[in-house]
Amino acid sequence: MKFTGFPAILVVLLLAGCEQAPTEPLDNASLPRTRLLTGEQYANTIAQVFGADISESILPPMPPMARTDGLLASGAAFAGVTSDQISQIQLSAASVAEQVVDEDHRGFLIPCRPESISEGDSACARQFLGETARLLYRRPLDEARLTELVDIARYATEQTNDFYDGLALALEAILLSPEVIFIVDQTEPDPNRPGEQRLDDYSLAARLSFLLWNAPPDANLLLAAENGELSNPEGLARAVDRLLASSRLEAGMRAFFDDMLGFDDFNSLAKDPVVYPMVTGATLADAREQTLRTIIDHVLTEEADYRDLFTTRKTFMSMSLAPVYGTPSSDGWVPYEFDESSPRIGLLTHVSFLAANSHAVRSSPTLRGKALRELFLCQHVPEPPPDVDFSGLEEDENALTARARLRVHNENPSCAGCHLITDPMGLSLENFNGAGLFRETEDGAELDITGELDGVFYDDISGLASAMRDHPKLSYCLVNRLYAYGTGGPVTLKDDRDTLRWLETQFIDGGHKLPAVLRDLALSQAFSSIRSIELPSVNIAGESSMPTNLNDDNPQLTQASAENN
Amino acid sequence: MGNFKRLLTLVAVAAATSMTSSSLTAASSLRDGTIGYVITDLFWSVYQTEDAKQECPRGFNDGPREQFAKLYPNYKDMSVEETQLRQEIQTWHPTTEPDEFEFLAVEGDLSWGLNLDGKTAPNDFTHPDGTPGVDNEVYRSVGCIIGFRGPDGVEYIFQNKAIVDERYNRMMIELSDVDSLENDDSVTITMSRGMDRLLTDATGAQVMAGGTQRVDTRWGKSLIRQMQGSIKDSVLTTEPIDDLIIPWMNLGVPSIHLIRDMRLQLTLTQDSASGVLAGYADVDTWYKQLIRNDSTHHLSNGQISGISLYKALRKFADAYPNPESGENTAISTSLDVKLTQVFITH
Repeated sequence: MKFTGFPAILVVLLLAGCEQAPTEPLDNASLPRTRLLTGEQYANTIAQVFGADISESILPPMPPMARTDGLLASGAAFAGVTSDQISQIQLSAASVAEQVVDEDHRGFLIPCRPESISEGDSACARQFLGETARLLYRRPLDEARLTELVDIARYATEQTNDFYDGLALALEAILLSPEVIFIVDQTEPDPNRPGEQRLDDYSLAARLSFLLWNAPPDANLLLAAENGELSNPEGLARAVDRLLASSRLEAGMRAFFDDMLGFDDFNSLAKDPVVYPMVTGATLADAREQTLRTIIDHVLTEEADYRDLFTTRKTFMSMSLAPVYGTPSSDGWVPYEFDESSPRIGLLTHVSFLAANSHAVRSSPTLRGKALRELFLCQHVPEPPPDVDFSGLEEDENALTARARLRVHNENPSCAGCHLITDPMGLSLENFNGAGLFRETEDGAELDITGELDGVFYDDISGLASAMRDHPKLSYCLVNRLYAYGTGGPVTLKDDRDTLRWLETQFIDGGHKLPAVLRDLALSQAFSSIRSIELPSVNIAGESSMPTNLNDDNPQLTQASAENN
Repeated sequence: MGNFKRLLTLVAVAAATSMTSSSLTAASSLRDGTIGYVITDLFWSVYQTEDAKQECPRGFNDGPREQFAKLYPNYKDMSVEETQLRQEIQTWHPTTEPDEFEFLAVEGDLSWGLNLDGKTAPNDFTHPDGTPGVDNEVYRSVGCIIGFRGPDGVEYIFQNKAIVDERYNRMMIELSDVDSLENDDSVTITMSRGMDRLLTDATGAQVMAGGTQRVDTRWGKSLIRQMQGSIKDSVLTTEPIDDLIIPWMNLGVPSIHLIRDMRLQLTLTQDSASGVLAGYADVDTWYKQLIRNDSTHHLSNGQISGISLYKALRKFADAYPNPESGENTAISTSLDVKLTQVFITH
């Protein structure tokens, strides 16, 4: 055996090994956002600070978000609250506050005891309100604001002769604060980029925590922010690695994928019980859960290649879902793997995708193709014109299959254009009816499931799955959604192109592993640096939430505030 | 997205096709020669004609309320011990001594059921399909009691409903060594109890095929039975086994039936099975299941006098004589049974 080529190969390999990973463009930065907490984030906040029992006792009062550029989370950046919604938030705040101070909870949620319940205890109130407000505001309060809250508690105690009632009123005021129900990015001068801004440590902590845990920063992360650790690379990496190593990452990523896949549709999804008697509310709920479990197990537990989600036969099964798949199951959720001969392969053949993107009474290749492009490839499919003529389709009794019906429909050139974008891949899923159950034929007619996805032709479902797995936009779309989700608003090609390209490269070079790209994103300059824009002057922590008439009506309180200030 | 979906819904309306759950089952339920079914309906076979004139020409039996009125017209002047409690005592401690009420037994010739003893005797019924020799003396006893007649008899409704509602009652059959659900000379049938709730379909009215049941091998171990059978023209017929215990909780009270010489005759499909479960019911077990599960309140609703019915059951009992007294302890019977396919996991 000759080894003459070996040194040359070795040199190439060594050089390749020494090749520097692509570095993030120096001017990467994201927009500062003010975004409304989602209902789940509100619930997680209450659970984290006061416990799950209190959180679960109320309906999160946050309004629904408008899906924006593929994400509800991006819609939060454009959401406000109406007076009616404020009223709902106030009712929830009152309920939470009442429970926190009740006899069942005060013993462990309030760190001190008043010397006298009827006379109050400002020191105790200060301790509780200071610690609690820090967790709810996601940053410490300044002294003036804290004093105001203590005064509110004292005033209410005087009115009710009950220290805990007073505390509850002050807590209610905190829970109503804009700083609590909105995530506000606050910035500071960036010493590494003179003349530019970056998130201050507390806002960075919130951005990290809501990205990775879908919850506010915990005490440790706030402490890291307080100590300035998030401003240096080592401290930030330490904090990010802690968040990534936590089991709470699973909840955070479930929230992300639930949003990315548009699973909020399941909240109102229903199938015609006559046409699909096997599909119940429990079936659909478990279909959503099945896909989320599959994703989380694949990308987090197994740390597998994200793209393989579209070809994996591994999933989870429940008793409610198993009949739809025609298989036995066991109690609870159990790992399940479709055999090689099964038509079920990858996320596109999950009941969740198939049923959610169908009509109530039949399948829809068009909706499935549209969803495939918009959810996983971040492509936009135009809305149909308002004057579509279905008469030719409706009158053709020979059009037994969806392919035949769409062929009739697409004789109109103005329809054909858009349907070419969606139908070829949607028709490949026609072996699954509108509820996601397998079928050999439709109305007795054979099904042609050959198709094409952006130049890749295939004969069957596994071909579609492979084409999807290898689609060049698949990785880009995930990092696009992650970046938008993490930074709190939709991306723009004008400003975010380089960042997304860099992040996509990181993702690809890292083997399409989610934890790695999450770490890259969380540690990136773009994540913490802020793009220069003109911001209105705000003073969040110093702004008073004190009702003006409260001061006006109570000269003593006004005087007390003035003295404390 | 909303407009887009609405627009496409128009196409959907034009093309909507109706499907049944069976047509949606792609893979065969018979896998590796095995198929399982769970019982979803179970009740005593009662042959009914439209106006009951054929089987009950003299009408229906009185129940506790009617009998009480006849027995104690002056009950207001009597003590509870002399009236209500006296009847309750007789209900819970029945005897074969005649009472003062004539019991109205079925007088017709037709009955559902099987020829259990292989004989055709004068007292036997004839099956509506013309088969002679049908043994079903439970029918003779309960056929003219309103509470046992469908579709709105109290027993008919509640005992049957309990089969679906109570996991305690989750009896299953599993056929193994099956080559074909149409014809097979030899199959093995195992009966056992499942542990899981039944999955109803989206209408809420039907148990859907394709669910999963785990076998209760611990608390249900004594319920497991195995037998041989054959399938001909999709009808499974089993050899009789010594006995079958049917767990039959109703209204939260766990009870059982004991069926001796039990055999099955079921028409099979991929999704379901239906037919009869027949044999000789142990009389005392039969009666206890009734009165343990249904108070006098319920019995009155169905005009079921436990006192009179017990006497009839003992009178018409036709098998398993007591070695000492010679009195029969079991009574021929047939139960209508419906089953839905399930995957049984072991």
